[in-house]
Amino acid sequence: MLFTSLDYYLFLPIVALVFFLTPVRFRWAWLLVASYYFYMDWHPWYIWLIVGSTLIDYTAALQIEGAANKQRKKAWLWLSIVANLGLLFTFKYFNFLSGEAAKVARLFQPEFEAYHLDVLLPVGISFYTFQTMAYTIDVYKGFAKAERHLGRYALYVSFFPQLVAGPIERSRDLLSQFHFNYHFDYHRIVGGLQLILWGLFKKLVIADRLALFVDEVYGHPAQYEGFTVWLASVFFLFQIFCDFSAYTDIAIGSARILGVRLSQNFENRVYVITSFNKFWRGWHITLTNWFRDYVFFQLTPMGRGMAWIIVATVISFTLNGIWHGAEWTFLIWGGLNGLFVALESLLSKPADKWLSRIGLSRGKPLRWLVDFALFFNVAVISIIFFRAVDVQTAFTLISQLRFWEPIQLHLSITDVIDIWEFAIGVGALLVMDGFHWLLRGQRIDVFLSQQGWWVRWVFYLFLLHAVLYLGMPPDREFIYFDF
Amino acid sequence: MTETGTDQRSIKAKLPELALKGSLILLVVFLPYLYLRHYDTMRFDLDYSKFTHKAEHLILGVSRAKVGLVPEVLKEELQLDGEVLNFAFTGLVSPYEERYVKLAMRKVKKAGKNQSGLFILSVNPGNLTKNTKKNRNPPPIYKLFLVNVSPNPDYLFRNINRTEPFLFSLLAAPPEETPMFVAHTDGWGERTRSSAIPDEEIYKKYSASIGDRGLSREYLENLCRLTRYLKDYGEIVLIRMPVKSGMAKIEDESVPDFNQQLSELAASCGAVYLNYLDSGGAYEFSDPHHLLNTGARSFTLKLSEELKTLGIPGEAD
Repeated sequence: MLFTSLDYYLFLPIVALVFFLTPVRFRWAWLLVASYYFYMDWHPWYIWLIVGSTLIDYTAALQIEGAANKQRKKAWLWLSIVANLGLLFTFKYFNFLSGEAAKVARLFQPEFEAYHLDVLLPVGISFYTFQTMAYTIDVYKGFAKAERHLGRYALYVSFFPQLVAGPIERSRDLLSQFHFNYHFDYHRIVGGLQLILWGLFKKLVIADRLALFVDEVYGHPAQYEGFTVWLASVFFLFQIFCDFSAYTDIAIGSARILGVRLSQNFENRVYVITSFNKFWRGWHITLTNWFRDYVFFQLTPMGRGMAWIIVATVISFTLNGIWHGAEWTFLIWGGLNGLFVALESLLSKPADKWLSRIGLSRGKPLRWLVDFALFFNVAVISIIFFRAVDVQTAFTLISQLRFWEPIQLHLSITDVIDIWEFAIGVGALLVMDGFHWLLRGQRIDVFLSQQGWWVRWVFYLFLLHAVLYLGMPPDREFIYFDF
Repeated sequence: MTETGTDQRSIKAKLPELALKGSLILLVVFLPYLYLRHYDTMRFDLDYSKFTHKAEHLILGVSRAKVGLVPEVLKEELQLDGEVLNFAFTGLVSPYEERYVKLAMRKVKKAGKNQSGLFILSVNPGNLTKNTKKNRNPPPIYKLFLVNVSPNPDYLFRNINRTEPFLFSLLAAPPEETPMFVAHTDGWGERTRSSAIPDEEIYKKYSASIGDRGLSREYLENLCRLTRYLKDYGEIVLIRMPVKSGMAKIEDESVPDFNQQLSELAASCGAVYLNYLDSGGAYEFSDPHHLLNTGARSFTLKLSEELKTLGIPGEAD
């Protein structure tokens, strides 16, 4: 069930209404039924993977907490990690590794055939396995208590707003909320609806429209060069932001209606990139934090030197890249970003000194412009690896960036998509950025609650009309459903 | 006082405000949108009118039936009371897949029982063979709960067959030339011109899609189930539409006992089976599968005469 489908907007009010009419002690059960139904609407049999993962981690956490010695604790922790990574490996990475191994084998035996598992990638598997792994690791480290109520734990794994594409929640943040000891709150519901509406605008009016341009250029890499490739990559950066942050907004909004707080996954103007360190503090925050806490910190115990910190940074980001999919392109994208973050940490002080000497000290508008031009374009080039179908295509596109013909800039757009689609896409991007600028880091509902009633109604009417009249047909899945 | 009780009171207290704001949004935003979409979809969408009114007589199948059977000819020739609707679609996995069978049952149910309805079900190896490589994402018409409403919000808000932003479609001028496909409110998908695709290409594609898997047991069972269900609403005729000779040859080679299997199925499930596969030479075609508008009219006329001879449809119970 897509967040942009009619089905979801029939499902959500029914779930919410029954939820508030259900006695508090049974509300977890209703949400669990609703969450399983939500997932089974996509592929009924894959619910057993969620059930299996739930039972293993529920048991593992209880056993870890009650274990008599450290060896036993460790054994249960490893069981949980191996089970979750095993699931991921089977469904997400096996075919890729088998194919790559076969390529090597063919060097010695040309007729060697790769073994291929005929399985669909279960939607959300990368999200819920990471969430449950974090749970058992936290219980093992004593950061969280093992949940004794199997139903509430099952809901933590499968809570429908964040099941298929996050945010990846920690048990200490989410599990405690499933006691539902609060009441119906009209303003909370309105806040949730505002977030959902904003998410629909970003997805249907911006992301899916930019996708027209991006898909055309990336689908025919040999045909386009220079400005067109650069613009397609800039658009992809915005497309993925609008797509994924829209999903997150709708997820957070839906959960809010039910009184559950989910974590922020994006900062509003994260795409204004003037530093990679800052960028990664505001981009897919819950996943970045996951790799920081469970990979980077584990690799950098106290006393390690700078060189090792740099290596650990690159490793963490490379794994973050591979998390997105079994492709060399994701590995390169992750590795490059790790390298950029590490180099920035290493070089920012000497670079600051040097730039100050030539009159570009921090805080000056020109310095901001220099930083933005540099970091934004480096991010745009690296994201080519994220979007290209393979490494060769990525390098083709990067090499074609050299060919610029400024006089024909307008043809670079009209040769690719209808000029009106382009104009609406860019116009909507400006509206989004203007609104994000107005928010100044506040949540939409908080901002709107401080405005007059007519501002709120202008917001509703504008977005509703934009979604209904300018929205693309809502049959395109969210990008992160593939990960 | 229970927690639920408190919530119920809070919900009740907020109901008037919710109702007022909801009605305002409905009036200002959704109703004008619904009517504009209805008007626009009627102009461009060949399938929409199939879900806007009741029909006592239905034609079911895929594109061969959609293009080749003309409801107004059947109605006139057989002097049928009530609406005749061509309820066949292009792009289905199969009209005898579970979800489409349910959709057809939903459509028929709304017309009411004990009618002297006529139900023409088009059958051929293509729509009774299970091909796993076929379109996995067909238009989600099977999800429609509302099948006889005008305007149909279920259809419109599911954005079925929509390919561009609504505003673009609304502002688009009607095509100047006669289009190749003309939509009729009775569901007939008229073809006015021959296809530019070479016949050989179509033969190759069709041959690959049927393969040698034989007929799907599941689809045959669903067809029989649907036939038995429809018995309560009228009479059922299974027909094998005429095609070009090259196409007929492919079908005969792929499933040589098709006629025998379908005759037996029709007899056991309470239907009549009529085979027109080899009569393709008598009609004009748009492509090897599909009849041209003139061919469709002639064939429907021929079918009507044969049905009259067979005394179909008879009197209602």
